[in-house]
Amino acid sequence: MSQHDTTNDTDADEGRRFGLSVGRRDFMKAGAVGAVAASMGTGLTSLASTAEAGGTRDALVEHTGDWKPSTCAGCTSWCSAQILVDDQTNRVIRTRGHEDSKIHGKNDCPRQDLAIQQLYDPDRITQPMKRTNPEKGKDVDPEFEPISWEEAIDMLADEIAELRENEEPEKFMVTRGRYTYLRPILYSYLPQIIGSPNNISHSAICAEAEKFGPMYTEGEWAYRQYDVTESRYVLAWGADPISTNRQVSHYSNEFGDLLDQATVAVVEPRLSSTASKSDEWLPVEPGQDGALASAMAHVILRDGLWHREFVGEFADGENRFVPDKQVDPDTFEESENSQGVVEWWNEELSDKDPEWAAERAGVPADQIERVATEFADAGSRAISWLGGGPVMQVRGSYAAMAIHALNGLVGSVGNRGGTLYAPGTATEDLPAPDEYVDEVAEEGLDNEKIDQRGRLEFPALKDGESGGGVVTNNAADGILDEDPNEIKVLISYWNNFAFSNPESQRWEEALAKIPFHATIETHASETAWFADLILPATHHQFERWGQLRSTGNGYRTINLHTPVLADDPDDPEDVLENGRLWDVKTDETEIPYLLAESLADKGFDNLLEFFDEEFPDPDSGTTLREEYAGDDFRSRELRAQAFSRNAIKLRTQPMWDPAYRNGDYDWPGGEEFDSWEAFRERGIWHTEKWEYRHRWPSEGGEFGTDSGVFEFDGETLRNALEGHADRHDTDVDTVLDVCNYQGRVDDEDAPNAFVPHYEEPYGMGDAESYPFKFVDHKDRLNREGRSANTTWLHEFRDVNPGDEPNKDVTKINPRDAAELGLEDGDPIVIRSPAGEIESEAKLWEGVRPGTVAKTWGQGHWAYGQVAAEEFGEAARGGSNNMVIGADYDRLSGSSVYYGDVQVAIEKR
Amino acid sequence: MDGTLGTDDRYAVERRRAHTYALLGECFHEPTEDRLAELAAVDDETVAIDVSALREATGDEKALRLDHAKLFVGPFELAAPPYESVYVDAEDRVMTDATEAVQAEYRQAGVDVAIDEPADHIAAELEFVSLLVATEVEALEAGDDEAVRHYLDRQYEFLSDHLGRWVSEIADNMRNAAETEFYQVLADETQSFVEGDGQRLANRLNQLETTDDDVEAVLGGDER
Repeated sequence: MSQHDTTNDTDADEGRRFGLSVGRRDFMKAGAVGAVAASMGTGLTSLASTAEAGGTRDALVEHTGDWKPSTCAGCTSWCSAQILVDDQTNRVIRTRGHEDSKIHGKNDCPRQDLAIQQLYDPDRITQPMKRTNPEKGKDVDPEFEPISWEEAIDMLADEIAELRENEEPEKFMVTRGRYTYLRPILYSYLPQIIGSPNNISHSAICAEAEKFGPMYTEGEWAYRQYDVTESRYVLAWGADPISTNRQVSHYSNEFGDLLDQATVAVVEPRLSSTASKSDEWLPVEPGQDGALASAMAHVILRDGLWHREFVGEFADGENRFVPDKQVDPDTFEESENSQGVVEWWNEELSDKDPEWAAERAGVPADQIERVATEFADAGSRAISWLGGGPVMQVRGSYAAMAIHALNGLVGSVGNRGGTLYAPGTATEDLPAPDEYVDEVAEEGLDNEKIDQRGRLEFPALKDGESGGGVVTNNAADGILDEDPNEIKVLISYWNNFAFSNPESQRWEEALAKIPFHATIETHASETAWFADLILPATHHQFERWGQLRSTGNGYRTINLHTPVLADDPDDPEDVLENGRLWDVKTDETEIPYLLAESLADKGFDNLLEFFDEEFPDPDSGTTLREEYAGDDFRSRELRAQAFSRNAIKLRTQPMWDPAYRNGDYDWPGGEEFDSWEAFRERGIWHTEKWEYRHRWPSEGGEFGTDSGVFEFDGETLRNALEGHADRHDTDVDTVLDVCNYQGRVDDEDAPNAFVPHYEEPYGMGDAESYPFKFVDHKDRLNREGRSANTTWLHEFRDVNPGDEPNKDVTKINPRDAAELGLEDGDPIVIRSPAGEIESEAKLWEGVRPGTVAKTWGQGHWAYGQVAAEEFGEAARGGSNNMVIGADYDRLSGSSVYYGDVQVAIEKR
Repeated sequence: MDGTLGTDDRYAVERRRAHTYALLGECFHEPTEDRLAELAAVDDETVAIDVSALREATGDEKALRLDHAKLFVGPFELAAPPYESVYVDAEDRVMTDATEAVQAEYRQAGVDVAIDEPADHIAAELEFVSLLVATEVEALEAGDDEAVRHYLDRQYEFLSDHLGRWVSEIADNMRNAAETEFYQVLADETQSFVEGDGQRLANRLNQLETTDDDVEAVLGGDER
């Protein structure tokens, strides 16, 4: 674009742009233009007469308006937000944390503010577009042209109807990225009623390995909340809580006080934001976190620092956890709260002293000693804080268990100042579609999923079940190999798999292969490049209904997304008229509804019947069709918006409907609202506060493990692994061998397969050709990868330690740089067995020698004019996913981003 | 717009101006069959631009649609963003202070945007000037000199404060990126008409201010 700044010539040239030498006149003839416009009626295209003219304040007057509630989904903190909408121009002016939130109050983080740049980004997709070039490929211009929503929905319905007619509904697929809790409609119910098992979420490129640790120690496949206001020692593993990770608003706000009252230590190969402000930095050799965890557990047991009430005690009080000595289990009396600490010691910890760990992890033995001791000295008010870094590795599952088990040793599990979960929430499940699933669909649903989860080599043991979790990135291979079947029709929404999956090149091929692909997005991503239909999505923070939740400070809050630009968000006409700047719709509700109508036109009405029957307004009982009866497309659009509103009301009904919560519903406690309007206007609901220790069996509670207690011996994992082995008619050792783990059952030369244990890093690439470990980390301004087209992300890049504004540098230790002959600013190539990218060298002491660190998120060749060097053609910066190979921590299904990625660095 | 202009119409010049702004506004919308048919039917005498050049440049409808998308809609290229905000406030923004000011102008006048676009979309701004001129013509017909001068002022101010500030920039972008002749011609015609019209307005307002000529003398007749 050739845009010059023409903003400075207003004052002087006010009257002279075209040579006018006289002053301006001030008087008004309000309304006359509107009257002329009204008389022209349909002769106008862009403008329409309004009922009244005038009344507009002087543009110089300060903005006024209301703070309206919504939610920021710029990371998984999902903070409750308030949006200042100018009452005269209907423009979003500011956003902040919700003042009523007991988690974060008005505090937010910089990501929330970036959302306004996204909302008002001229590169947004503004109307439905269809591909006109049937050829697909990275180098092929798709030649998109605008079409109407009606045509677009009809095209998509045609494709789905054809699969149904041919009785091959399993060839339909939905991929999800970020979502709100209205997600079942598009993600689950739509494919279920059509008859496809292929709904593939992004979860395994998020952090499934991180859930593995708590799952196989205390039975929770979930993220934790950390009780930082009460804690006395925080030991963060690859977590950067004041920058990324979860509930950043709360942790950032509390971090100053935390440093006053507690010691903070960070295990991380690079100096992260949190590490740079902490008391201790343990710059671990990538992939060796598990060694540190085992050694710390060794120290805690050796020195008798464990929590007696949670773990137990030797019958005679004499500590027999002596290095290199086995302990007779009979001498130890386990507490009611946990089991297996002796087995853990005997099988794993007895010889894993700090010197042993120091050799592997590159962290001094005395620092390991000190951190372990001080951590345990904090009593139960200590947190072993597990992030994705140490565990999204080929053998990460066991490190996840070891790191989380430290919380068990010191009794901080569910305890004051320790690791908590979320108190019970009063949301309701959306109505289920089972009655609307016909025979064709039933048969389709019996097929195996396209990500091949549950196969011998993909245990994905979510919740203890073989194939219970997703293997997101492997779906590309499933599509390419047509194994288990071909995919013919894909709906992708709120994701960009062609960019966000490791070795993303494979997704480009997979997407190019799918005959019909509709994507629902705010921005034209790399994924959209391969689509046949691009459907413009509402922005979650400002333009739609939805619900997410935050967890922190002992609470969980239920946070509403509301269409803040409409005066009356409950009025579908107002939302369609004023709630969106462009012709956009909501992925999870409006689009499935319109699709249901169109499918019904084509003779398949199960989906529409389900929506019509099960989603009346729970306040009034009015059905969608009673509210808007017409069958023209406008009426359908209004019904679709009413459907969105009804869905969110159904989901949150217990919180705002006294009759409902006092009926059969199992009310968990928490705030009570008396009407939908009261709840909607506030936009946030709180649980009761977390009750410490309530899940401890000694307090009458129960853990979610098979044994009901906290397990140091991996009993639940044993059951899950044996279940998976049985399913494939083999043994656990074969499973672990195929899945690249070192643990074995009853093999003295191998780690015990069930207890939390150390495994050597796997190494993706031979160390001679690829001598450096690649340390990928996320950008503080990342917004889950969706903010690359905001200028602020680039301008303020240096909020990430070591980064430079408007650059995408690779951070290299000066010692390594000297050996490579590299200087600051030198152009380099990063090469791995998976691929290569170009970057610029930044010499920085904050990475340990032998590693290079690079912030994730750049390298877009699409997504917008700011994100890409040349939109649709040339990348800006380098995408880490081009060099991170597609491999997995197979027990959890998680993709590998960290620890094992090996690269070579060369000067260009 | 009023298509019944005749050479005996005393306000033909003004009607032509109104019609021209409206026609240009239409040309920035998606090139549908109907719109192209409308363009084909425009009487050259009723507009103040070389409409035959535009007509002759239409060519293949699909090529036009693709080019229109690439220039003004996206999704992968937005070679000529159609929003004032992008040119006068910030390259990466819509709904800026400029948009707000435009919207305020519309509301003061009693109109509002009727398309799913920000108020400062070029088609809306062109149509707004057309409405201001049409209102001026009504005042002329009613003999309300004061109102005529008011609407001349309003036109001048809107061109000065808004459309005239960025028309050359968007036209440059169109000339650089358009693959079809039609959008090349549209860029030239839009820029030269809007800039020329601003200049003529200034001259007329100067004439009204500095001479004893009345509105009728300045605006009447059919000089172009």
